[in-house]
Amino acid sequence: MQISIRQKLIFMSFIVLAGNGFIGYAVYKSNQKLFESEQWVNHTEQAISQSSEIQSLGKEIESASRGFIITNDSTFLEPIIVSHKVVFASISQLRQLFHDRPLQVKRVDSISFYMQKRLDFSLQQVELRSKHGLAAAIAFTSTNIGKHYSDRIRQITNVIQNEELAMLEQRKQTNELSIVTFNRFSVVMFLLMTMFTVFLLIITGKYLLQNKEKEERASELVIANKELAFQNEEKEKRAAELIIANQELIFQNCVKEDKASALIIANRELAFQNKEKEKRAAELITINESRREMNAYLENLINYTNAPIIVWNPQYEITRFNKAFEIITGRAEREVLGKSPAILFPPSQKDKSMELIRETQTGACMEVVEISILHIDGSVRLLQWNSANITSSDGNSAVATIAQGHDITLRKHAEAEIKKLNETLERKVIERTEQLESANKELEAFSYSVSHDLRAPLRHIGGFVDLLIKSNSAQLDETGLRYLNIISESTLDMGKLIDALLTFSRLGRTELLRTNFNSGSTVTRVLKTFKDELAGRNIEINVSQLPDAKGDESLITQVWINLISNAIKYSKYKEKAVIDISGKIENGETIFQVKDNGAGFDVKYADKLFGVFQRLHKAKDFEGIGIGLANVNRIVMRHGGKCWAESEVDNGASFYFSIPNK
Amino acid sequence: MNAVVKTILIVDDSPKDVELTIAALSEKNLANNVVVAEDGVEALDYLYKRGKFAGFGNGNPAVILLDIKMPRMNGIEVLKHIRSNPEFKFTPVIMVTSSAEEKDLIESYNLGVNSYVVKPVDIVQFIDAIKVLGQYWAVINQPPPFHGK
Repeated sequence: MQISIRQKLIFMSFIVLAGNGFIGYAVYKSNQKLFESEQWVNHTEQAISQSSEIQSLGKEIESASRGFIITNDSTFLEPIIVSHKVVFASISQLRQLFHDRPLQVKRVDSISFYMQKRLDFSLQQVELRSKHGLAAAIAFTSTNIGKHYSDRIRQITNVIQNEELAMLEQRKQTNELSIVTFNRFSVVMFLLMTMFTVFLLIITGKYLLQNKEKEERASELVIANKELAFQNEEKEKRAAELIIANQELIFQNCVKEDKASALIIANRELAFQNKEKEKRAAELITINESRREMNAYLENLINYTNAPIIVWNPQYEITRFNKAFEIITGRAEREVLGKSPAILFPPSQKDKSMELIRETQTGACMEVVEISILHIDGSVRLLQWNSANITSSDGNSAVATIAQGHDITLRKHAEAEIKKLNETLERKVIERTEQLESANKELEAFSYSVSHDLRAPLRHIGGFVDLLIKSNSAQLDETGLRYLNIISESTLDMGKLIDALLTFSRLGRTELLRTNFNSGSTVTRVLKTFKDELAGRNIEINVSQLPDAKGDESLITQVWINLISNAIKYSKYKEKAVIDISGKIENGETIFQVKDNGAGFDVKYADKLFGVFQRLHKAKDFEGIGIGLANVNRIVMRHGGKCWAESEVDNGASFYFSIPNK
Repeated sequence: MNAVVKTILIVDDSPKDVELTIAALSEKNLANNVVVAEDGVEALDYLYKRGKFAGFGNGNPAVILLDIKMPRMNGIEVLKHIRSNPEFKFTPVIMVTSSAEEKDLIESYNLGVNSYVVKPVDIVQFIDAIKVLGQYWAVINQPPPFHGK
């Protein structure tokens, strides 16, 4: 509604403006027309006056000439001349006035023509008078040519004037019509505009009123909102208070609940305890029963058990003495009843033993003690005793002490024996160890000597044979040289044997240094040392992920060296040698494997495999002394492991060694 | 090269070894410079120009080829003596012995031996080694300046 009002307003305003414009235009036009009318009136007036003037001038000339004619006074000539000038000026003026009216212009030209004629006539008159006298002039004048001319002028002037007036009238009428039209139009427009303006005012008024209403409503709403907001605040405050109150309540409820549950628990406790009490009462009854049975049972037990049992009262009087004790001491129960236990001990230990017994009065039971018992035949037996105090029913005092013995005489003897034997053993072990150590030392010295002393002669043999060859080559024939060379080679062989023996013996003597080391890196290092042997041969070596081993790293390295060296050596006749090295952990030990596809060996002779200086192949097929595997076996056995091998002749061999994981 | 004759002192109780050594050195024309001591005592006698070697030689060898296993005084003891004497502290000493025992090695190096050569069984190797040693120490190497008498 608002928008359309606005539009209406705008629209209305436009219309009003447009209307006003039209009115203005109409007014302007009307004014213009009025002005035009005025102009035309002026114009017509001018034309009329002008033409009248011309006529009058003509008349003046006429009268002047007449005058002259009459009087022959030259003073009448002056007006003619003057009028003459003036009249033509007038005529041309009139002509100009009618510049857009060809008809009128023609008429003016006619007037001009006739005027000239008249003038000429007048001049002729004048001339005649002046020259020929009055009669001639009157005669001339009587021709009425002059009058004719004047009439013509008068006529034309009238026509011009009438024409002019007629035209003026016409124009006036037309104008009046226009004016009237314009006026009417203006009035109408004016009325319309007034209407529209009123309308506009009404609408604007409405619009403004509406706005006012809206504003009022808006301000009412704002006030209402403020009210609401305020009330909401109040409500919120109230709500917050309520929440706090609620929390209070909840808290109090919790407290109440806690108290209630505490009460419940207390009740349960009580119920439970009541039950317990009932149980306890029932138990007591059964206990009493059992006790009665127990007493009877114990009586029998005590009497007939194998272990000697004695009971004495706080006054150290024997109150019970069972069968076993009777046997040990050779005394009957009735003999000892009421007497002190001291009578049972060998005299030398009496005091000490009684001391121990007195200690039993304090505390509920005694730790195991050893007290000897005397038999009436003089023999003494050693027993291990434990005792217990039997307390009164109120638990405050002991009513009796019961002691049970265990014959340990024999055991003591045995223990003494064992101790003696152990001592002897210790001594023997120390002796043997010393012997072993000295033996080892001797061996070491021996090996050292062997290595030094055996080698020297070898060196000499080889050396002098060499010198012999060098110095006497001329005298020696082929055979001789060959023999000498054999001698030289043999000394070298012997040297190698000696070295091998020494190594073997040393491996048995050196201390094992057990460490955890990485087998993989050990094998890699070992393989590097075989670089030369591997160069130029088609060998594929596969090393799988090897588990760590725990042992003497340098010795185990020797094992790897020997096994790998063998694998390389014995596969040298195969076009492509394949060596697989692997390891696994099984049953608490690590098992390593070196497998080759070489010559293999005959399993029939497998038990010789790890023997010292034992070979399963000919030296000319595969060189070697037969110490490598013996060393491997020695080392692995010292680690607590085992060596074994599998093979098929010409189809390779697999060698295994195990090391416990400890 | 010095005008002084460079002596090679061989200390070894085995005449056969000595003979082989000299045979090897002679291949390098060094046999003339050789002096032989048969045990540690004689070696010191030579160095101090006393006893067997009184008034003999110039006492400061270009190199000493020292065996270890000898009677009376062994090579380690000789080395100890030599190195404790400022006069002979820098004399080149090479242990030439059949012992490959670690303890001999450690002791010798601890005492400041210049080199340790194990007598190989292989005679060819032995002769080559001696030739190399002789050539190096008696010919190529510059011995320490002579301090002594």
